[in-house]
Amino acid sequence: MATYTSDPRSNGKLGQPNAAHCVDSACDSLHIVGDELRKFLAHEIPTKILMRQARDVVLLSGPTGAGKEKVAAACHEAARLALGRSGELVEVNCANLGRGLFESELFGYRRGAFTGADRDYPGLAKRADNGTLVLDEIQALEPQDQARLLRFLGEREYRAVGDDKMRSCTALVVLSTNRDLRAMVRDGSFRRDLLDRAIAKIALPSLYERRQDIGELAQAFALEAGRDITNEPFYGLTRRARTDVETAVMRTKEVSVRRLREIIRNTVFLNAADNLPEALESEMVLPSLESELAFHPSDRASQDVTELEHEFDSLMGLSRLHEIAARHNVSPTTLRLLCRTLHSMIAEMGDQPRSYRNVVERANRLLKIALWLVSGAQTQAGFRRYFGTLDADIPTKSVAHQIYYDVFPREEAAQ
Amino acid sequence: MSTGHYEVTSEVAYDLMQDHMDVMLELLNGPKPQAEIARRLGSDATLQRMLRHGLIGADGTTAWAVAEVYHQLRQEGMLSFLERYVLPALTASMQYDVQLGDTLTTLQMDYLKVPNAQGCLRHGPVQRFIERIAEISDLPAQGPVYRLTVLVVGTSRVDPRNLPLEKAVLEHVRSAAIQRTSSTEKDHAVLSQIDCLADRTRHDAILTVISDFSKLFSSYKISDPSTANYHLTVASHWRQSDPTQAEEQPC
Repeated sequence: MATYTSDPRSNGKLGQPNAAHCVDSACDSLHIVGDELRKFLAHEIPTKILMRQARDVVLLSGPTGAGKEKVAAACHEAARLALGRSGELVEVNCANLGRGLFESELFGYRRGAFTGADRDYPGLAKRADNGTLVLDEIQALEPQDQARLLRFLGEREYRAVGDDKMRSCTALVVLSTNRDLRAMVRDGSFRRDLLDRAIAKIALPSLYERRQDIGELAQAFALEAGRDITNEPFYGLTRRARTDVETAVMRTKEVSVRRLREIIRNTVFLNAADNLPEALESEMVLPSLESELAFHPSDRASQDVTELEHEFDSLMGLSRLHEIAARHNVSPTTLRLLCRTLHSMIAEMGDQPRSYRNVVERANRLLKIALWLVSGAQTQAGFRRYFGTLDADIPTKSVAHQIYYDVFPREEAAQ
Repeated sequence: MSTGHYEVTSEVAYDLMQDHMDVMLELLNGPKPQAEIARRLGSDATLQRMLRHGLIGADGTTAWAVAEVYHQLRQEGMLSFLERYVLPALTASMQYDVQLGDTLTTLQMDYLKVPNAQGCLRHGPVQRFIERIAEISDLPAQGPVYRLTVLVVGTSRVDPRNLPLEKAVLEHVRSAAIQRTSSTEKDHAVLSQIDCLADRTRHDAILTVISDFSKLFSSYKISDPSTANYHLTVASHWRQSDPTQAEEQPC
């Protein structure tokens, strides 16, 4: 069985694929755009799937149009790369299944098992074996099908309809939904024990919750639309235009990724009526933003102020990380790891005031992590010695211990 | 080949300047072979774009800057402007608990009580300060040149608390940035960045200009922020080597 390591200094020399690299590769192959989302997945997929050898059932939740389908595909691809899983990605929309067809579709059937069963059908569980089974719109399952699924998720064994033989399935199971399943449990329309079976939960952030991805996504959608229109160079949206899109989305709060794509594509096609310009400036984008998202140029200033009040301290932390990295020859890969860690730390702060002190304390801690990585120390003692050569404060053993496990989370033992 | 000032007005030209600042600084230092510039820009198509937007001139073999000074107003959100442009220079100018190595930085922060805090600095002293730096950056280089960044941050929104230097500077930048986004207060604040290439001689001359600029306000300087009506910071950052490009470490 393949094992993986989260050791950022592992380079696969010993045949151990690196989790972060696998997630990155998966995101690249699926053209997943957005640094914030990729950072999110770089944390979630290893901790919720890879570390668990893809054995735990995953509940993937998120608003409509947030990209759950792509994320599920990323989970599958990352598991394939990191754990050597060779099975297919199988997706089924539970809302589209006809009444009474869930069991036969999922588990398969023998010829003659029921009227119309004129051949053997292996079923989706068999197809997904050692791969990934995504059950989309899980909230749409009828109660009796929820019970059948529960049994399957418990034992990972099933019988095809009309068959005596028990089969096992090692698929990574992802239950996907845009609904609040806890609320559905409360009102009795979803089984609590089925919800409890989904031990690993990945809650996809909405576009509003990942501000920094908005401009990047808008640009990607613009370039995609440009390629549909012309082979001539098209540079997408200017920075001003991207900022306006970002402001418009942040003020609306209800725009999904799918809706953003629709708006941007329509904007590009509108402006291509005579001849697609080299790039779309803000004046060209404003009419669409006004009509679709009620945006007005006067919104720019107030959005700037809002962001300066709330995001400035985070920016300072990140800016300092970059400066530290440049001074200590920290590689770009390691710097990305540090930025992700700082983002996670900031996210963990939740509703705490994001004061300068809070963020910079964390940045200071990351300074030590950065230096650890640069030092190449293999042990905490080695790290402390390296610090001594810098004439900086030598961390105590407990701090070195803590920092070590921040960077190198404990790995599960290979079997 | 180059004359006076160039006002960058279009969004596309602004983006090109921001994306290729290092190349523009090289051209401000003198004409370069066109092929080399195309290579530095990443493609001939980008060179052609810059030509189309009048940012540079070229005659088929040589490319040159069309002006001695390029002036551009921010054409993006304030947060991304700070993130990509201002804060990297500012954090580099602020000494932390690590040796700086081969960079030279200065940071001068003053609380002032000036007769006309509203708009007193932006169009007068700061403008002349920028022009003097531009004149110096035009002098012939006498040694290797590296990027020198000078930041001027001023705001009439003074934080009255006696904060530690680092915290005070950051609050100062935040206040200036907020004022600059306001149509009624924007002239009460300054948030200007000047980039040029400097050898040792130019660097020292620019430090003298910074010192002279600070001396302009000697009679207005006070130590108690609670009675100040203007907050002024000038920071400089000069790397005496090429930006370190670490090899990709196994990760």
